[in-house]
Amino acid sequence: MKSKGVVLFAHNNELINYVRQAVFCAKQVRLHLDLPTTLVTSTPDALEDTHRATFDQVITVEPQQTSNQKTYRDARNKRVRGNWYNGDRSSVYDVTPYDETIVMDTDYIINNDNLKKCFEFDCDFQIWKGGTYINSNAQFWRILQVSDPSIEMYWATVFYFKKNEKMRLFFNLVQYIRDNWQAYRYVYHIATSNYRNDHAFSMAIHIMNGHEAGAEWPQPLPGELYYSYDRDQLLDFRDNKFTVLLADPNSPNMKVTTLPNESLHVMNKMSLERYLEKELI
Amino acid sequence: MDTRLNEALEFTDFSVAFADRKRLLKQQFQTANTHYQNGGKFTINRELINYLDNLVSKSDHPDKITAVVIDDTDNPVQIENIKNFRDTITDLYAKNCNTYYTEIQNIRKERDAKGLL
Repeated sequence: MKSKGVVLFAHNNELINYVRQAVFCAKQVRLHLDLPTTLVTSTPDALEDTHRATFDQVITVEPQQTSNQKTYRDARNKRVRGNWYNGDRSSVYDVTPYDETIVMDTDYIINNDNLKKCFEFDCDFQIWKGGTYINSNAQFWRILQVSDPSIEMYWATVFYFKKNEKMRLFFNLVQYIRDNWQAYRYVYHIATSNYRNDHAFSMAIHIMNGHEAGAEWPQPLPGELYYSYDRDQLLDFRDNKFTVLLADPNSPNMKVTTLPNESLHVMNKMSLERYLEKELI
Repeated sequence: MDTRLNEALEFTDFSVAFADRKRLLKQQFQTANTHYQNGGKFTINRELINYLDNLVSKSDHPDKITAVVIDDTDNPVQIENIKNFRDTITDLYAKNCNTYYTEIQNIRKERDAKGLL
């Protein structure tokens, strides 16, 4: 029987406690998917002893050197910059202890069991493209391509893969793109210099499909990717329902929406931090 | 603000919230109607149910029919007991339709955007 599990990468910086997010994420995984979770971290000291049992395994890795600087927005007007340690996602092929692995961002909050179905589908790589932004008034903010004249955007937020030769080649290619990021970002017309996994994955998929769009590989994960931006604020999450304050592109006012029974990618990490401060005492 | 405009804008909030919730329910209905079997991915719809029903009804031994069905990714998938497969997805489709109907009826009862949250 093949082993199955979830791998989370969490590298704290001066602003965000990604390890704490990973604890909450792993608890939601256990609750809805009933899968073991492995944490890969360069900041293991941030993991409190009381939360260590949440994980199947904790793998400590060396801290990364990075020039990536991420702007962390908190709602419309507040923003701060911090180091962004996102360069080791492609190492998952080597570090995962499982034959079949779901990898997800720590700010992806699982709220149903849809993802379990990925194990029943005979496809070695499943990842979403497109996704649904939960603010229907601002669909023009949706990200469908890595850049305007370029290729389809796949979200490395969550993906499933099965260990085989093709996937080994894929992750090696992602690492090659990362190592030659400044060249590849010009080829694919990406304006910002930050390395981003979504972009590198999209490029690698494009290359491995013979530089063609609309190929059969990879397939989307089961269900839908819902996300809120860092302009929006997570207000609450209870009774399987997210309550989010949405920025309105047409006015300074904000509006409240809810998302019941679906998982959500919460991009506003500051508001997620506030929620977790209350939740994980 | 003129009350006519104010009332219209309040209704706009409601109609946007209603459309959002309806869209979510539709997506949830579509997700629930995706069935995985023998490594294949099948969107359950009336066409698939009808096709399987035809296969079953034309056979003298419906319990023993093995057939190849094309899945969502255009891959041929061998299904060993088509009758079981048909029954499974028909039941699932009916259950999902009932859930979808109930949820839509619930949001139709609401009269303001707050009630839809």
